[in-house]
Amino acid sequence: MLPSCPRTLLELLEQRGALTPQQAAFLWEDQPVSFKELWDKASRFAAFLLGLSVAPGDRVLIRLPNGPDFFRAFYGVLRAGAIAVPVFPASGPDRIAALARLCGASMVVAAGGDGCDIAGLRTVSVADSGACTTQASFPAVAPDDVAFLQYTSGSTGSPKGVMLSHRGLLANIGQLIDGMNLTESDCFVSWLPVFHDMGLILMTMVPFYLGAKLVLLPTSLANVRPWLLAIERHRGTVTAAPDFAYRLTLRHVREAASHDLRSLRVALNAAEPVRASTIEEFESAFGLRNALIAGYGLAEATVGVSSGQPGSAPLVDARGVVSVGRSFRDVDVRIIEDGRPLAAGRIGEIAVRSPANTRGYYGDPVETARLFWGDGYIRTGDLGYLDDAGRLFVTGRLKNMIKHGGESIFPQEAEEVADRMPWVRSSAAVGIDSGGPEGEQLYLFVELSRPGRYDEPQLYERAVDIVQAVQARLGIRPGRVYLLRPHAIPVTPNGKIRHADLRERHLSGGLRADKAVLFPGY
Amino acid sequence: MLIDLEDVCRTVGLVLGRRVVHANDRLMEDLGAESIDLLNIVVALEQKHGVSIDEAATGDVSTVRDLHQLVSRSPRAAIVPADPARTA
Repeated sequence: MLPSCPRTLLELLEQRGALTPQQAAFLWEDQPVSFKELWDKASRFAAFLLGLSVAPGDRVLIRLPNGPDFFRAFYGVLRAGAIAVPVFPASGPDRIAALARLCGASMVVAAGGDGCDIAGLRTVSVADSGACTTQASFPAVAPDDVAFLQYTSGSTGSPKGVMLSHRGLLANIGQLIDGMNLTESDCFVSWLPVFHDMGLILMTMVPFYLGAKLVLLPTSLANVRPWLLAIERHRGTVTAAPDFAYRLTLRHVREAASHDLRSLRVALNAAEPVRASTIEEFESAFGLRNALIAGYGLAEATVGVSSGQPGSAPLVDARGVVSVGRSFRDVDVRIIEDGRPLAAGRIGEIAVRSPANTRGYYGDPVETARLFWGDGYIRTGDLGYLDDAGRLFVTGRLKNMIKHGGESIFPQEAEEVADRMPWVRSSAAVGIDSGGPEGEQLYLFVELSRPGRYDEPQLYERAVDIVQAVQARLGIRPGRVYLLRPHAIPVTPNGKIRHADLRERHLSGGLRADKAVLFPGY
Repeated sequence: MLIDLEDVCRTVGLVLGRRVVHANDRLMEDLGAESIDLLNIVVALEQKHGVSIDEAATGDVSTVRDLHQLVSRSPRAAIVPADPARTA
């Protein structure tokens, strides 16, 4: 049974607590946490916050990993009328302090005894609220109130806090359910971080809304086996991860056939460029058929904008780009260039209008003004095109596009070529301008899986292999190919390649200083 | 400056994606180099050997051997490469 038109996340959870009180909201370490328990403990924490004079609209940082306490803190903050600001729990004190300053927070919720010890920032824990009542006088929360701030990492400049309202969140929950045909009979299995939007909204708020089973796991991907085992044991039907996690799984699981993942109906591949090879190889290794679907979204549109259809074969264009499908209900996607819309087939910046669009960045009117285009569209900073049938293809990030001899090249086109080599662990393509007459050139940085295996002549051959493969696929030769040690390419906590950072590390000599470069020696 | 001809062959091969390059191969006609590739070869040789190559003189280069001679008579660059001890 579905909740009846909740207008806020709190109404959603309250209705769940009343409709299906004993049902598990989620399983954590195989232990069920019921909707009633979740609602009661969140209310208790809210009462605790109100007792500390937290007022409506106050920002409260939440520095907690996946687990029951995160939800008690998150919904407790909301019930106190305040704005939750989830932060990466491993963030150091400097980053926490910087985020607190940016959003004007004076409190952080952390695990007991895990104080951040930052001046001006009070640390509380969920356990502190044990003695509080669930019957306090809670402030009214309206649909247009901001529920939480999603800070986007942004490879340059300071992070920006995307304001997500209850109304926008509920709109996007409905769009995700509709767009991917999700139902209450689904079983969600997720290790995605709940302190980030895809893990929090798609993989917890959606199953909460549906009353569907949710198996929640810790985020560590040092071992992908628990993820696969959970899908297998619980007959999981829905999961989601960025492309790299599926790739990682293929590398780490030698005996794919020993895992039965055939219960999966929807395995969303989103949050970073989707590679055709990943979909192909993952489905073939695990005997799946059209379960891996490519999706597209961004925090500024709450989280989801479009996805492929579960059960339909992926659509791949001549450049090797996988379509991220048609936009969700009530979402309009335009492709723009120099402020004007482009026709079908032309590549430009993707602009999105959706009832789930943010109204801007917290406390940042300048960046907020830059975000919008035309009549309520947000500029995504992503490049792509729509085909004649309205299907979206995302070709890259505006700022990562490489101009090589007048050709526009997207990093993932070259990375896909390198990553298909069996001896490659990971690769990153960036545009490098060394200041010479050749101008910006495509440089490919390639991590070897087992660097110890090669002597110098063999390294030379591997580099030649890459040049040949890139030329065969893209019609151009890279300006340079560097072979690197494993883990030399900088990535975000979510595993996304930090292209700007890599470029900087190359140009400043940092890569070489760290002895990360195996070949060539210049 | 003494520079190994074989070294230049390998640098050219690396940019052009060829396992084997001979001294008498013509860069454009035999090896299929385009103008942008020639620029990348020059940059690679400059960085590898720490020399500064006169761009105007590259117009007279046809074969890999010509290129080797050009590099050999090029002056040392003002800035030495970050790691001159290593060669590839």
